[in-house]
Amino acid sequence: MADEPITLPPKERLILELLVGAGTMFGLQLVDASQGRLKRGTVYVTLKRMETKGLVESKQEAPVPGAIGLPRRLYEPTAHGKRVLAAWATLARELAWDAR
Amino acid sequence: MSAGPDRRLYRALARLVDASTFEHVITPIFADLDHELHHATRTVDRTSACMRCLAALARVWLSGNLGSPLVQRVTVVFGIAVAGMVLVLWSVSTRHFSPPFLVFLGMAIVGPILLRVCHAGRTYRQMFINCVIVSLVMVITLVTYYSASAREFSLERTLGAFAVLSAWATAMCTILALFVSDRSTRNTLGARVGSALLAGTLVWLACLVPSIDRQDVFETRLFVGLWLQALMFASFALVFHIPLLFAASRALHGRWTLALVGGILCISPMLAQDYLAGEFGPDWFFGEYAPKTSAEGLARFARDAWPYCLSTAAVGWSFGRSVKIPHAPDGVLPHDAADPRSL
Repeated sequence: MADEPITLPPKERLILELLVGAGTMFGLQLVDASQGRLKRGTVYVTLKRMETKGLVESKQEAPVPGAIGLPRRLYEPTAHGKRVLAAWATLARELAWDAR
Repeated sequence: MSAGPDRRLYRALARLVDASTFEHVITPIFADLDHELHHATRTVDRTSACMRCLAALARVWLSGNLGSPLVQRVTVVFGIAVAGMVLVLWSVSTRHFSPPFLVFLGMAIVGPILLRVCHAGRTYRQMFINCVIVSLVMVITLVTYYSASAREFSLERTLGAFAVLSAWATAMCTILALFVSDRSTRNTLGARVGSALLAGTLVWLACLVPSIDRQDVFETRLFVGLWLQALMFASFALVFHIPLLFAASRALHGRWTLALVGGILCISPMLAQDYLAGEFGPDWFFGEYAPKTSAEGLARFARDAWPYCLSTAAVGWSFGRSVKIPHAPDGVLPHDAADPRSL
């Protein structure tokens, strides 16, 4: 994993931006906040891939008294994920400046 | 946790998918469903939540992330086959749609694309098998419809439809098999010789058809005759289109060739049958799909087609020697190869 080059596809970048902005979010909150750019089915696939890459981490929500059903999963960016996002933003700015 | 159908689906998925996918993908989707159901007050909201959950699962399934390729492949093939079956029934039961052959043509083009988009065929062999399954389902549907329809029933028409369509499926398999680029059949001289021999054999078998008196025999011999005739159409397509297929597979990196092959093979029997009937006019595309089995026309076709088939075979052979067939290691489609330029 460490030998592979870091890539940040648009959806992963969007998720990282949302998570860095909000701190922690549920999957459905990410879908709602993305304004249609993330879908309910694929957001968890993307989050799983990002967890494998070490960009985000997740934990189950704390049990709420009276709540029924399965506990949801909370996602937050890792320090590595924040660094990757910052580096990606810097790179994008540099490229945009070069293009002018 | 309720004991409704969503829980049964949840437990079924627990057995089908791998543990990691279940924990990180499936469980969160159902947790979202529980959350929404908990806050839903109206029946319509609860129904909507369930539908969104199912749509999410379908999207995950179709995107190939459930960790069970076989189940996914079977599901996709089944879905496409059902869609084809519905289209066939629609085309034969209404006057507002095209003849069944157009449905087959459309499915021959769209089917491989859908299979690729839905990750239901990674190798040519898988694509080949999937296409055959879909086409067979459509053929059986059409034949069953004509057999069950009393006012439309005609033994010759039914057998003819089955013969042409099964030959279409057979020929599609044959040509796709020629383009298999895995360990079992590489781009070898033997494969080309084998394909040429196969085409020649099919034509030779088809030439036996005029010796069968179809007017008096309506059972096994007629069926065999029609099937051989249809095979001749297919072999005609095989020989005629070899240069085009080589060129297309080279230029298009093989991915779209699958669709092209299906489309061409669907059209070719119609062209051949209309040639037999002398109806090669502007409305040939919308003509009757059942073969017009005239022994005289068949004999004329066989007599005229030999030089044509041989010459096009020679062109195809020489073209094939100068153009490299797309080749990918380990049976992977060229589209998936690491470096497409190496094709």
